Amino acid sequence: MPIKAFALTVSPVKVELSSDPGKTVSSQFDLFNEQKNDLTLYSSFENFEAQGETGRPNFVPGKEGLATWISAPAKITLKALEKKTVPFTVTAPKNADPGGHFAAIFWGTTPPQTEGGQVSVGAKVGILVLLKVSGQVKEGADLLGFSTQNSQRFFAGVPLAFSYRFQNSGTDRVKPDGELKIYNSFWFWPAAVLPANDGQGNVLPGSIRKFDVLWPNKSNTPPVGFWAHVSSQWQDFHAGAYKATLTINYGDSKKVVDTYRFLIIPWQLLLILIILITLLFLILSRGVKKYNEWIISKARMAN
Amino acid sequence: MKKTIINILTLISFSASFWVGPFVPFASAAALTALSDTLSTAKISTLSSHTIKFTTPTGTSTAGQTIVITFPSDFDFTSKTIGTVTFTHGATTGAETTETLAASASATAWGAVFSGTANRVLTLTAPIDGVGTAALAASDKVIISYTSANSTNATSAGSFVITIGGTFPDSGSITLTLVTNDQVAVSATVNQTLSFAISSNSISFGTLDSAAARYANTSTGSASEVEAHTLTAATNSSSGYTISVNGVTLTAGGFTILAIGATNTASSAGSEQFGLRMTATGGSGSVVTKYSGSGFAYDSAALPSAVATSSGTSATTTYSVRYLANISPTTEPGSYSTTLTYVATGNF
Repeated sequence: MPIKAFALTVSPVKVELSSDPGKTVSSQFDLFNEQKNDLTLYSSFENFEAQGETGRPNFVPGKEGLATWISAPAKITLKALEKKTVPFTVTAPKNADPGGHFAAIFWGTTPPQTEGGQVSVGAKVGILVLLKVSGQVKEGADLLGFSTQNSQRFFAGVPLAFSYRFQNSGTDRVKPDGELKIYNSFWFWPAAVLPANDGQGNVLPGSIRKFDVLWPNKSNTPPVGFWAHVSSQWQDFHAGAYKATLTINYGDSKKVVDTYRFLIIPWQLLLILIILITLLFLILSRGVKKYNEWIISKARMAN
Repeated sequence: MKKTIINILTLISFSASFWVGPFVPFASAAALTALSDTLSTAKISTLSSHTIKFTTPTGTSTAGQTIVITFPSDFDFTSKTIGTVTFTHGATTGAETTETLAASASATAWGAVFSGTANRVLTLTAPIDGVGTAALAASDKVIISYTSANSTNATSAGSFVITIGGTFPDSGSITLTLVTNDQVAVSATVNQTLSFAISSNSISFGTLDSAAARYANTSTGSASEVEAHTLTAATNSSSGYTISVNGVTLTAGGFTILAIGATNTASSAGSEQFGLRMTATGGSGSVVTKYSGSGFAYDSAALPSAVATSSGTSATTTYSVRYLANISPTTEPGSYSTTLTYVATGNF
């Protein structure tokens, strides 16, 4: 194992809790020092909000909010390759707003003092805490758009990427749940049924998140080159007019639905098939002609 | 005289019995060996197949001899037919010869009949020629199989004894055990984890020069681009992770070297620049666009600035981090330094 200045594993990656105002909830996480030397870690707490539509957290130093409600050890020393379970508590104030509150517990080292010309490099790992405070929580969500990537309508085959944007206008996080069903206009059964939120991502209050859904091919890699497309279209044959129906369930039995229509024309495979059929036709017709000529010449000789 | 003749005749008869005796075949019963019954399920009141195995020390080649298998009470074979039974035997595995079973013994077939309460008794009768497909030889291994059709285990848990006997010379018994539930629930938990490491926490540019770019490394800097340190990250969380960097640009007191900004820009000696770029290998992680180009960037206006991300689970990705510093001829002299902190968290 190469020598590391910092090597830490945390588990779990995010903790989802619920609490009443004025109450304390407890939980825990594990820290694992992956180095062959002792590691002293210092805790810090920051609130986070959504950064763009990607599900990445944007950390905001907090002098209020969930970052100040969390209580965990200020310092922990892990021996070489030691794993420790660390308890922590969250005490929501009596006047805490109902709904979602989001923060992270960070564990990091103190970077060395810098000297001239130097860049001191530190590292921290954070555990996300997603807290729901009970009370009257406003729910509101909407599908802002559903389409294939770049809103294309014509495709040669799979894989095919879809995306949708889900808006949460409520006061607590929402975890969209549902499926994307793809139907060919000629068949009753779906060509594919895909999970709408495979990564179990959350949409924070007052934010929009973009989710990607992939209709994969058998090899799980996009074909590159003409013959790779022919092979992929042969193995995963799809052709015709399709309708993708996205159904998202969220909150308390609420649902939103949207559809998108597109065409799949596997032109590379069709081109090869047309060429082969044409060649076959030419060979057969020439063969029949030769046979006829032979029969006629035989008949003449017999006469 | 008469008494003497009677004694002599008695003596001769008695002696003859020892001579005749060895030539008269007589039955010698032996205990079956290697007995077993393998069930498809040991659960009570459940349909189960049986594979009964034993080794017969004596064998049989006598027409009409029977092998009788008797199950104890509470086993239910009602409506079971001989078509769901197979009988094989042989010297090595017991599966070498398959015998034909029929309603009654013939020259080529063993008779097979279910009888008794709930058909618990199976009587196999040797063929008329005593051989059938092949003689059941001494020391042959025997396999008698019941399919699970119409073959229900007893309704209570415990030990049960199956007897094997009949008129063929050998006999034995098998004890089998039934349980209320033959399934063992197995569960395991795999927790979500996020692993993050850096290879070095102190790097240096050395002395900066307006005539040429300088790149940081773990010693005194370099005039050509080198790797300064690595970051590694891995997660089994389906939401993936994000790595961000936070920290001001190179600073000496009140003076700074301008950060390049959010656009990936080529090195330009003679102009103030501080930036970084990264490459990724392994796993599913990738470098954020502004830091993945051939140039450098440092988005000091939007700190913390995301540098790498994985949208889902990822084996270990190693990010190679390179730093660039350029100064202009008018850059204020001083001892410039900074502290950068890389932060790794899961995505929500």
